[in-house]
Amino acid sequence: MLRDVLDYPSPHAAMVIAGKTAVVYVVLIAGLRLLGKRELGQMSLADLVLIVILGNAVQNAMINNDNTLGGGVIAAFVLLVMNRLLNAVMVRSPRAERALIGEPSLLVCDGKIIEGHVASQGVTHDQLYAGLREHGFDSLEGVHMVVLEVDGTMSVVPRTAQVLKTRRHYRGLRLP
Amino acid sequence: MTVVVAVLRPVSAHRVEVQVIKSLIVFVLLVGGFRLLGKREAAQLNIYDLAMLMALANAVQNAMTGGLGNLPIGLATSSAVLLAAWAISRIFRRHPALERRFVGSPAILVRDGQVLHPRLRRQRVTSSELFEACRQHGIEDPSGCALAVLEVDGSISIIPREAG
Repeated sequence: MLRDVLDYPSPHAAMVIAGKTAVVYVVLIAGLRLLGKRELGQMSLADLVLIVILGNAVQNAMINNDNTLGGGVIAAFVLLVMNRLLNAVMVRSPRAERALIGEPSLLVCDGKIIEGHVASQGVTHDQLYAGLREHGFDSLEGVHMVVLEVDGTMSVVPRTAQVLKTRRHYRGLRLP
Repeated sequence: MTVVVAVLRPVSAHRVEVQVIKSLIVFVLLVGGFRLLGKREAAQLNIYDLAMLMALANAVQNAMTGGLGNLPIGLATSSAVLLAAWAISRIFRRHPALERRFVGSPAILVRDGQVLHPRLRRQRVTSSELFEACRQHGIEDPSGCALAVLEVDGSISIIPREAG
């Protein structure tokens, strides 16, 4: 019984699984980056289905019909470690984070719409005002800034918010 | 008739037991793995994290079901995992100290407008994620926070400074 439960692949097969899983992870990241769908908050049902199907599509490539407990655990931990490495890189290097995740964009500054940013982000004025209404504003009056975040949501900072020091931390948040 | 036979394809009790125990082991190892390696800020998942989760679920599939498309095995393994999750939440409810130890405690990221960078790095929160959380709470940047806390559920809570 115990032997049936705690089965594991041969060392060679284990290395193949680990290697294949690592390659699959890198290809997945590169593919998603190239596809340019980074706005998790704006994902449509089709985008979500794509992610789920992707996971199914790469299954056999990772574990190659290996039904052992050890094989699955190895593949899972390779994925977890690779993801941890990617997140560690992004915490240390803002440049890598910008390249992979993108950066926020300033849409409104002190009540004035920055048309260049709005146009380049593909945001319509209707969407901008919808975002404002969601935050309880019916006009740009009283709005200090509106930022299109990397996840596709809009943040609104009201003018009444206390500003102790004003710094622009991102290229995208600088005035044109 | 052949369809019914195919749906109710028999499987040995031994095989079901083996796959149930395997599934439980996978579940426990994954919970431990996420505690060790996973992202604390689950509320800030990016698309790469989501893709990893989906691939991971599929990577452990064959270990849990033995690559068999059998109905009894599928039902037994999924119920085993559901029962284990229920048991864990019950244990946590009865022993809050255990939960604190296992799930972790909230971490302060900003205090009186000062960003605690070592904490940020230890919790693997990037500064752009912290700035985003501030803006989502209507504050321009962390200098306007009395307190920013990474909660155990993975979200960042912001308490603004009193104006004036």
